[in-house]
Amino acid sequence: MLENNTADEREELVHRALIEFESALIGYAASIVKDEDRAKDVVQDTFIKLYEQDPEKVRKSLKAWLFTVCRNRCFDVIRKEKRMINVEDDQLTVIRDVADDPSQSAERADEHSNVIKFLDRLPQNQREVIRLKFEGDMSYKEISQITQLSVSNVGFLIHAGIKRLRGLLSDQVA
Amino acid sequence: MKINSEDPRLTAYALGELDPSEVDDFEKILEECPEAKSEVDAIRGTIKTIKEEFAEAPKKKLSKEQKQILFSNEEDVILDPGPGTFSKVNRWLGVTAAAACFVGMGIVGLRSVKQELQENSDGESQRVYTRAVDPTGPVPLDSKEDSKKGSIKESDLDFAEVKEKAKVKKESKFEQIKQLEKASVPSSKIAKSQSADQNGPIPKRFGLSTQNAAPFASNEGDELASVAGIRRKQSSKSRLSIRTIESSARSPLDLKLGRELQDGSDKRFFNNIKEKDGRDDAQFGDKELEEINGEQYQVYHDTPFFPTIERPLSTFAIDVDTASYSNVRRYIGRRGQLPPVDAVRVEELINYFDYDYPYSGDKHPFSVHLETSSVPWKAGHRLVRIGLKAKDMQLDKRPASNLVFLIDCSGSMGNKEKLPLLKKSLVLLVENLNEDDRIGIVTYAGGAGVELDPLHGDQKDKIIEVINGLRSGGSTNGEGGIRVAYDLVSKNYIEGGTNRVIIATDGDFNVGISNSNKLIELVKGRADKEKIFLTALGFGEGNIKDARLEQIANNGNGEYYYIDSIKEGRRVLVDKMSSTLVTVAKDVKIQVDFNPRKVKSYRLIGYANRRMKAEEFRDDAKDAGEIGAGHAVTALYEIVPAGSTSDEGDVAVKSKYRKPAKKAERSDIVESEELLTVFLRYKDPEADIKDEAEEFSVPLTDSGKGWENSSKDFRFASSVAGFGMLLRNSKFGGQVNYDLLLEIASEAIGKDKNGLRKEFVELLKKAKSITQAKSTSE
Repeated sequence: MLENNTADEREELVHRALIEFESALIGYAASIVKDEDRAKDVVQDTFIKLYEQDPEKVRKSLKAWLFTVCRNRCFDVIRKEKRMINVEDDQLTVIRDVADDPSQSAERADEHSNVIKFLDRLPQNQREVIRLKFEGDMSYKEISQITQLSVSNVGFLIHAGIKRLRGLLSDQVA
Repeated sequence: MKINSEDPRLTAYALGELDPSEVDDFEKILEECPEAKSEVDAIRGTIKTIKEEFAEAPKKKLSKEQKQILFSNEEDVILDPGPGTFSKVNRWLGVTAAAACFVGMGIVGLRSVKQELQENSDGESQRVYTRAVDPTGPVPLDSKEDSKKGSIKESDLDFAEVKEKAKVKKESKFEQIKQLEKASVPSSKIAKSQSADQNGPIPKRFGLSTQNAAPFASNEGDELASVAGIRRKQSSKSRLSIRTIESSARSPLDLKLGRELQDGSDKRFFNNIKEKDGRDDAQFGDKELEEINGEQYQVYHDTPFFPTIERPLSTFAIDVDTASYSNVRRYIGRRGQLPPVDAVRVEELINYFDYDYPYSGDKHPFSVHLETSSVPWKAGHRLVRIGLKAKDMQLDKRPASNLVFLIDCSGSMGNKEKLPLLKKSLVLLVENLNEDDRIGIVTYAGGAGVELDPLHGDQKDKIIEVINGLRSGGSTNGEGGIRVAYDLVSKNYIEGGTNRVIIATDGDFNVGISNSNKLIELVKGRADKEKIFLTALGFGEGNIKDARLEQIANNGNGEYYYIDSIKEGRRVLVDKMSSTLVTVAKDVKIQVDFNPRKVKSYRLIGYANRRMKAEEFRDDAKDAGEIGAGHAVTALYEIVPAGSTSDEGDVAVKSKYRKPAKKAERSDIVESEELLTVFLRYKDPEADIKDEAEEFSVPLTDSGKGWENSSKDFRFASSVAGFGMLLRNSKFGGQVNYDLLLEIASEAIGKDKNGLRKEFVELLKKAKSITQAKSTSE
């Protein structure tokens, strides 16, 4: 009585993944590529890629797989755009450790609530792990697998990020 | 010992991420250091705010078009007809083709260039699509280093290909891609092979029946060359998928890519043509053949008509689930949109409602009620209803229940349609328990483990207190959760009572067994060996975990319900408690034997994923459906009477070695006036896998009754079936439409104790207006 058809299994897997992770993946991708529309393209690509996988192999670590592929795809997109506007490679570090211009990100995020808005003021690496932690509902270990950071490094980044958010939140209250 | 506020252990501790070996030491430190303690509290506060805001933030969604690519039920036709044939083809296919051609250029362009690139480098175009970049390969946070690898073009192309592939759907999407890709550009080769073997594997492989290829063949001299390179799928929603292509081509990335690639191409002209042929016979023909050859498909496609002469037996397992209806109701009623086609299981819609079939007799735990009449939306056809009614059980005579709830408390359960609704529903159930009943609670996320060691039903306050204390949050961490739940039931097993695990979740089955087959094995094993059954309650957004929940409940000899409101919670856990909890027969199978003298062809409505092979009917090791006390189960067949001129079901076997069967001359058909006979087979709920099942049968002779003389239940069930067909865009719907259904349903409301039929009429109205709005906007 059971479904053994692989195509259906894939379909089911993609459906499930979509329902469960669609929003978190878009949020996560948007935090890297800085644009929700592009993020959606990336996420769509990710799901399409999922279709190509053997469901048996992916299923066990679906979440980690999705976020990893999504992340790689984000960096592909960024690299590609860099090339298009002819930016030197070494300027790429901007993405990594300098916060956005707060005014800009505030504008972009005005539909968001406070914390999510403030998240944009965090350095990229803190923002990323915090999104994975709370939006993606992941353990330190899972985050470590996806970002290739050590577990303790993830711990540092999350700690620092939460601290920063706390500061921003209390500034706002004051 | 002092702790620095920069110490990441503070946050790790607050998040429950601290290594277990460190926790004790760290807690000692916290006791000694009030600053650290308040720091942890402050961190917890921030974490709470973050979680809440993420939970409340509007869910981000891909656009409809983006999703359409992922789940389109149709395939695209991409032709390379050559400049000379284009206008003809276009005319033949209608206007939609023009739009598709335009947007298709970029996409096909990609392929040709990619192919060429590859041909230049290794001369073997086939390889292009087998090369895969490991998608999970790490990209270090330091993207600077990685960017130097310069593999950009390649990876982008991969994605373009993948996107393209994704439009070829289902079976063909995966198994046939490689052949399609091989075939797509070197058109001369394909043309040759097709000429050599017109009816051979190639058209079939493309999902292209010869009859559909025929227009090309008769119009064009060198027709086969012109169809070379076809990628096709049939479409029932072609407009939608064209938009899909447009939208994917419109993204800046693809436009840009398309330009780059076209510049590098040899200006070969490709056209993407979309066939607007909603009624998908070719694909279906293949399927049906497969069926007749004895292979069973477990797909959610509507079951087609089968010719009685070839396949006199129709076999399926009963299904008392109703989850699909509450899910459909949520979509239409609450979200104001039509549900995805695959979320609609017609039999679950029909079985959601109460029907007044009496239970008569005591020999078997259920009785069978057959009825037949004409079909309002298809002239000349007959509709047959098979209604099963299980013996009822007074609530006070209900055997004692031994229930353990396995509750998903992961972060995703936080929203108010999930855990809070579950808690309210559970409290309702608990209030209706009595002292002989027992209830226990195991959670499998947040703090995993036994939340409540089973207590008797007279300790309601304690039980309710535990229920109200359930909180969602934290990573999923449920090693062994499901085993623990089964073990608790097993420990308190009530002989002759209801022993059941009830799993409540939004679909995250991280219950300690990650492999879904193993999970099913476990659930099935405990049901078979220990007679512990399983019921699944689904909550919140999500229709496909729905499929998993259904699968698990089926294997656990239980039902699956989708709880979308407290009203539904009450219906399932209180009003229907005895049928939800007390199984009166298990492995119930139905086999209908049609009389070829009376029935030309027949079609089972719904039960698409419950169909069985004819020989499995008497294979008592084969699992089937369960029926609970008081349950009514309804199945409908649409029948083409013998002698009808309707050609439905005629697509059957056309073998060059067989003459068309001349029914009148066949001597092996028994003289009988009966229309059909329904055979039923079931086991006692306590029976073992090895035990032989009970069997009985009921024949039906068609009295020729017209629609107007059919019972209200019959008419109501028919209207629900019609609704399901509309939602599924079924090709078998005939003249069915919302106005007709509204008329039928509103006249067949009857007693409607619980108001559900009236609600259905409202749902029809709403679905009608959504459909109208949709068609005007398109």
